[in-house]
Amino acid sequence: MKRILDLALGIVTSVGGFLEIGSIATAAQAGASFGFQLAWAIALGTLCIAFLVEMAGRFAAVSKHTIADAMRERFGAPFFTTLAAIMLGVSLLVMAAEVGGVGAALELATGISIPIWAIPVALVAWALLWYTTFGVIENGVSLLGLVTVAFVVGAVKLHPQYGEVARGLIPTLPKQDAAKYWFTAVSILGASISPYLFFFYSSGAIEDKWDTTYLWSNRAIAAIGMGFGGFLSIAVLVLAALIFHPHNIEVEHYQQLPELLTPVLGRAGFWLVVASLAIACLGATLEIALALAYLVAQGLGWTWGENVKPREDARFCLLYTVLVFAASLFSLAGADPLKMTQISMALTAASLPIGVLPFLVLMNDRQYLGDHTNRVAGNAIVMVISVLAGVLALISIPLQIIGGS
Amino acid sequence: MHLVAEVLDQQLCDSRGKPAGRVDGIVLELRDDKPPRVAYVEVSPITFLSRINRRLSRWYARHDRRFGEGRGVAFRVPWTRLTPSGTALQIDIDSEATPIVAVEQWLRRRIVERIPGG
Amino acid sequence: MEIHEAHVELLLGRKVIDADSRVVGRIEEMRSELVDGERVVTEFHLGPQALLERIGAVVAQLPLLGFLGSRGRPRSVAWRLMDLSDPRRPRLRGRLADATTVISRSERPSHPS
Repeated sequence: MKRILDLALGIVTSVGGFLEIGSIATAAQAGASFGFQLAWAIALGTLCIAFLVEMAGRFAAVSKHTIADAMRERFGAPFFTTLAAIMLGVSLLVMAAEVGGVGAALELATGISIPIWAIPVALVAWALLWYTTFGVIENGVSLLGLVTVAFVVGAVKLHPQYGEVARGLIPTLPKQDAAKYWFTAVSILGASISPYLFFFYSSGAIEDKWDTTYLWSNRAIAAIGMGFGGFLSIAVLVLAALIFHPHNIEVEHYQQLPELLTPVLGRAGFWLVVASLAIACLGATLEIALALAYLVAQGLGWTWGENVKPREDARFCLLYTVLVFAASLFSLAGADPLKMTQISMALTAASLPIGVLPFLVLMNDRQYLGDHTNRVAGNAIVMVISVLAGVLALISIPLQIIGGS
Repeated sequence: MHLVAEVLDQQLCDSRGKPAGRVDGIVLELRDDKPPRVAYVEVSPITFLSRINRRLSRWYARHDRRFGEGRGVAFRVPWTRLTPSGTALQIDIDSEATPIVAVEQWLRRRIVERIPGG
Repeated sequence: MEIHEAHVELLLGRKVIDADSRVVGRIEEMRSELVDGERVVTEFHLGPQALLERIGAVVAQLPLLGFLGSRGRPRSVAWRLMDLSDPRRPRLRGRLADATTVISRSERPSHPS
């Protein structure tokens, strides 16, 4: 019985943790500019992250190692340092966008502008990390994150032509705006496949003391949780495609986001978007701060853990503290959350192969996984999608810069 | 035993089972007409940084030196005090009495314990 | 007597050259054994194959990285043949050309010579 409860909770958690400013904003922009045509990018990204999350959980459950731990062990200090530096740089920018997302939600709700919210948001995030345990963060914040299901309700109420939506799941070449099309596709892939997630999940599995009896629930959580998360993203895309696209309205300001639900749900829609944005972005901020602190602490052999009192792992706790406040500086300085999202999601996509390929090497290592190493299909799917995302990013980022937005 | 695959960069834990850094370096003693002896493992940011950038390592050592005796040089654990233990290597030393956790202790005293809830 | 030291982590990746200044390969692994109660280094493993042996042969099966597996051979050099008097420039005692007897491929049954 407890296992079933755990399973349900795990699924809810991964659904709640899926939507954040990256996936909301990129799906909305894709729907507004290209209708249903980019739904395939969400599907591809979701498939890849589901596989990655399953792998990260399996790795920790079988080997009792976290991913960062094994990367240092297997590839040595110089490689680990390079990887950690890239991850820190890119993910800090993603975290800055998330803090900006919470700020944007609060601005929509109160009219008080984002920069004023930057430090209070960082303080709340820090306090949650400092005073609570892993379980509270994972379950509490993510349960609240289920408010994002409102997007599905909204999309269904608009009665989209499901055949048209399904047609978007098959990749097609753009009819116009090729540079923008591919850049948006890359941003969606970057938003769906977050490399920090596999550091986060493998650490969570160790914190929750997983063993091989968790392999089945791990698989179910990854498949159902991530699958439903992708479904939520597609709902956002559908809403934007039906509301903005017919009027040739592009999504260029976060102030436009409530319009995703107000035409269907009225005033309640406005508050649902605000709540979704605030909770999802706050949850993501916590996850990224923890993921980066896990990465560094494990790679350097420090004491780490969200279930340990801060005085027992001072370096770990001070690291996430510094990261949270550093991320809030961008919003404090007036950076636009949507711009930060676009840039950070494209950079995430560009950096994907660097994190994912060594991860795949570990997932095929019998010394860690024994008989539980990857199958050919898992290797192929994850490798093809992440290399594709990386290559597309390297081509489309310069094009986007030259073309201007 | 393969020194790079099985020892270098492995997690260390101390006599009480607490994480005590990683094997940042391994010191070989070179002798005439005898094979090199595995003498120590080093656990220190100085050693870690020397693998990435020598100047950075020297800069760190220079600052670390000011913290007193035993600092400014890499901390060494004699090879004979290491034993494998689960997913880590165990050293039969209490890490709290070594420079391995000096930064941790400093941050704990100076910052964390002054924040409520720390 | 002055104690000479070498660091495993700094030897790692260093190019070894022979008496003719020919490159033998990069040091990627060091094998140790217990001899008379002491842990000592008995063999140095060189070249890309030695790297693969350490980080996992699966790397060579990945697209774009296949070259790692096709180039070079795993070489194992006995400690007597490795001159570490300058650890930054490790040298092979003798010449690679007449080394068929002194350099063996490391023990990998999957790669018949």
